[in-house]
Amino acid sequence: MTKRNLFAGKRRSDGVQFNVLSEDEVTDIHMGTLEVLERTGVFVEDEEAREIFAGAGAQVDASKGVVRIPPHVVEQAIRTAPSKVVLAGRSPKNDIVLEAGRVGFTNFGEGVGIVDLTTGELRVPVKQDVADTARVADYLPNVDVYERAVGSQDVSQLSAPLHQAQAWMANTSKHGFMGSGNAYLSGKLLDMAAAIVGGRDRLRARPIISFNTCPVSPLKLVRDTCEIIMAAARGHVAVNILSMAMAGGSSPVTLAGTLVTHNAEVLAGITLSQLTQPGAKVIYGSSTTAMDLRLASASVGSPECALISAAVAQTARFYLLPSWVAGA
Amino acid sequence: MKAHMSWLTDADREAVYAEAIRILETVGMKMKGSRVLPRLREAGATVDEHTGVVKFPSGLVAEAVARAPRDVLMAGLEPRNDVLLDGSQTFFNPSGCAAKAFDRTTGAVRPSTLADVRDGTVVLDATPQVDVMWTFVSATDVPLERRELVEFYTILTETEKPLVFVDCPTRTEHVRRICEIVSGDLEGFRARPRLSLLCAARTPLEVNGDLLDVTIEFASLGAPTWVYSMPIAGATSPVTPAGTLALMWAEVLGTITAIETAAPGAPVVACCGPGILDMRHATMSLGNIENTMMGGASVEIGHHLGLPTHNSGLSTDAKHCGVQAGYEKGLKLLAAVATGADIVSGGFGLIDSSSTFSLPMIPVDAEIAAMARRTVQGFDISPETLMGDAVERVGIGGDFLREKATSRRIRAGEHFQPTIASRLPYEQWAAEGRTEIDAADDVVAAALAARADRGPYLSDEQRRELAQVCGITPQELKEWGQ
Repeated sequence: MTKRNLFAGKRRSDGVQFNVLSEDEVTDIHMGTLEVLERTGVFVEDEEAREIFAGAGAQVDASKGVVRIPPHVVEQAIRTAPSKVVLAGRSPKNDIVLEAGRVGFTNFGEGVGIVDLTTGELRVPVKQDVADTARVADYLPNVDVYERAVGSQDVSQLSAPLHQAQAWMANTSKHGFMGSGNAYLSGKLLDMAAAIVGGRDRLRARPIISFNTCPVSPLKLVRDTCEIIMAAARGHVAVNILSMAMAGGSSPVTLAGTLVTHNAEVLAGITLSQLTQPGAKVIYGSSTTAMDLRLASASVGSPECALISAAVAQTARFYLLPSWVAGA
Repeated sequence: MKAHMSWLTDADREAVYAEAIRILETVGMKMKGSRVLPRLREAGATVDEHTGVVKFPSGLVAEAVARAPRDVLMAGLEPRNDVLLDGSQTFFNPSGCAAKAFDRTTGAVRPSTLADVRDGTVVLDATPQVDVMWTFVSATDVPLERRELVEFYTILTETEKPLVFVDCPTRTEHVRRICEIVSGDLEGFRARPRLSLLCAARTPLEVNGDLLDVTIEFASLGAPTWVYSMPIAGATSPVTPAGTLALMWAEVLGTITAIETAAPGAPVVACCGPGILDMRHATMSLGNIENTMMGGASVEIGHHLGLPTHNSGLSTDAKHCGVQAGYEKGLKLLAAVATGADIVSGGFGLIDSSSTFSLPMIPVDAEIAAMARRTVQGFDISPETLMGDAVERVGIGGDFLREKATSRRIRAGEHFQPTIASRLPYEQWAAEGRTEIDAADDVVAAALAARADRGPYLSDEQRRELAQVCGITPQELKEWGQ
C-alpha cells in the first residue's frame, strides 16, 4: 500500500504545528531571492544549461558564466514544478507520497567514515557497508526512503555511484536517493533502475530512484549539478536540489540572509529543471546550517540548523513544493 | 518571528474546559477536613460535610479564575534574581524530589544526602538557565524529624534565586518565621515573596484538607501557590490525553477556586504534570512525550483563562546520563518552550523519573535549555538582517568570513555556542578522549570552587536566626564552613 505519512500542522481537529516564519516573512525571503537572482545572478558552469536559461530570457554573461534570471522566469518555474511527487519503492507497499505538510523520514549521506559494528573503531566505508545500511533502513519502519548512507572507498571512485547503487538496490525494497555524479553516470543509474522495474517506460511509471545534487554556495551551479538536474528532468525521475550553505562562511552570518542565498541557489536549480522539462519532479532541499567560526566547521547539531530546516520547509510549502531538510 | 508550537484548536480548548467544569459541577472534588469548606458553601458551592466533597457551580470557578492575577512575581534575594511570570518569556526550574544520587566519586547510585542538597544547590545557583530553585533532592542522612528544616536552611543559604518548597511544610510556624527572616518582615515578604509552595491534588479529584489549609495560610501571606495536578493516564485518570486533560483541569480549577475563595487575589500558577502508566511494566513514566503534549495543551488553556501556566520538559525515565536522557529531555523541552509556557520544570540534574539526582547532568540540561531558548527565539527578518548589500558585495563564489558583520554578529551571539557539546572533528575528539559528562564535570567543579571563594548567602544575622529556627547546631555550622 502506498504510504501517506501524517500531515504536520494541518488545521483539522488535531495536529501540532511549529511555525518559525510569518507569511509576510516568507514573502520577504522570496522577494529578496528574486532580487539576488536578477541582479547578482548565479554562476552556471555548463554551457548547455546556460543556453537553456538564455532561451527563457535570462541574461547570460558567457565569459563569466553568470546567468541573471528575471523574476517571471523563476516564478513560472515554481508554478510548473509539481507539488505532489510519488516516490516508488521496488515493492509498491513502500511507495511514498510527498506533498505539502506530509512528513516522512530518511537517513542521510554520504558518510565518509563508519563505526565498525564489531570493533567499534572508525574506519573507511566499503561497498558492503552500503549494502548493510540499506538493509537496516529497509527494516526500520520509520525510515520511509533510503539515502545512500556511506560512500564505498574500496571501488573505483570514477564509477563509485554505480557500485553504491548496485549495493543498495539489492538490499532495500524502499525508494532510494543518491548523488548521481554526472550526466554519464546518471544515465547508467537510470539504466540500472530500468533493468529492475522492466524498462525505461516502466521506470517513468515507477521511479525507484531519485538523484541528489548540491549547488555550491554562494550561488554556483557547477557542471555536474547542471548535468544531474537536466538528466533527472529528461529521465523522468525526481531530483533533490539541496544547498549546504554555512551561515557566516559561504552565506551571510544572519539566518535571514542565509535563507535568501540558500533559496536563490535552490530556485536557480529548480528553474533549470523546469526549463529543461516543464513539470519535471524536483524536491526543495536543505542541509544549510551555521558555521562554527571557532572551528571553521559546519555544525549540524546546532539550533540554527533546526531553525533553518524549519524555515526552509515553510518556504517550500509557500512554493507548494515537496521539501527535504536536515533533521536527525 | 518567534517560533511557536500550537496544540489545540479553539474548539478543542473549549471542549476540555467545558468538560472540566462539568466534572466540578457533577462529581466535585474532595477536600475533607479543610477549613475552607464553610466558605465555599457560603460562596455557592454544594458541600457535603461528611464526605468533604465540594461541587462547584461554574460561575464560582470563573469568579475565582478572574481573581487570580495574570502576572506572578517570585522574588530572588536581589531584584536581579526576580522571576516575573508575565507570559513574555519561559523560565526554568528543577524538579524533584529525588531520594537517590549518583556519587561523583564512585559512580554508584546511593541514597541522597545533605551534601547532595548543598552541592546541587550551589551548582543550580551558578547555572544561568535555572531561574527558580526547588527542594529537588532529599537529605536522607538527616533524621526525618529534622530533615525538612535542615534542607530549607541549606538551600536558602546557598542560592539567591526564588525558592519553591515542594513538600507541604509540616511546621508552618517555622516557615512563617523563615519568611520573616529572609524578607525582613511579613509585609516585606508580601511585596517580594521569596518562597512559593506547592499544592498537589491527589488524583482523581481529591486534595488533602490539611495541605489546602497550609497552602491558604501562606497564600494569604502572599506566597505564590503552584497548583499541581499529576494524574497518571490509564491509572488515576482516563487513558486518553483528552480525558486526562479535562480531569487535570478540573483539579487545578477546583483547587484554585478554594484558594481564591479564602484568599482573594492570591498568586497561583497552574501546573499540569501528567504521567502515564507504562502498561508493559506497570511503572509510572515521566519521560513520556504525552506528558509534554498534554502540558502544551494545558498552557494554551491556562493562557486563555489568564493564568500563568507551567509545563514539564526535562523529565526522563533514563537510568543514566546517556542517549535516552538526551533525546527525551531535548525533544520534550523544545516542545514545552515552543508552546510558550511561563515556566518549565522537569529535572535539571534529574534522571530515573526524577528519582535520581546527578550533578553533571545539570550543565547538560542547561545546554538543552539554552538550545531550546535559542531555537524558539526564531528568525529576525529585516532589511538589515537579510544582508542584501553583503550578498551583492561578496557576489558569486566568495565568502562572508571577511564581512565585518560576521565577526560583529558572532561576538554578539548570533549563533549559539555550546559549552558541553563537541563540534570537533572525530579524530581530534577521539584523541582528546573527553565525553559530554567530562565537560559537564568541569562546569560542576568550577561552580563548587566559586562557592568556596564566595561563602554562603544572607547576612550573618539572617543566617544565625535561620539556623536557630531550623535547629542547626553550632557544631554543624562549623562543619559546613559557616
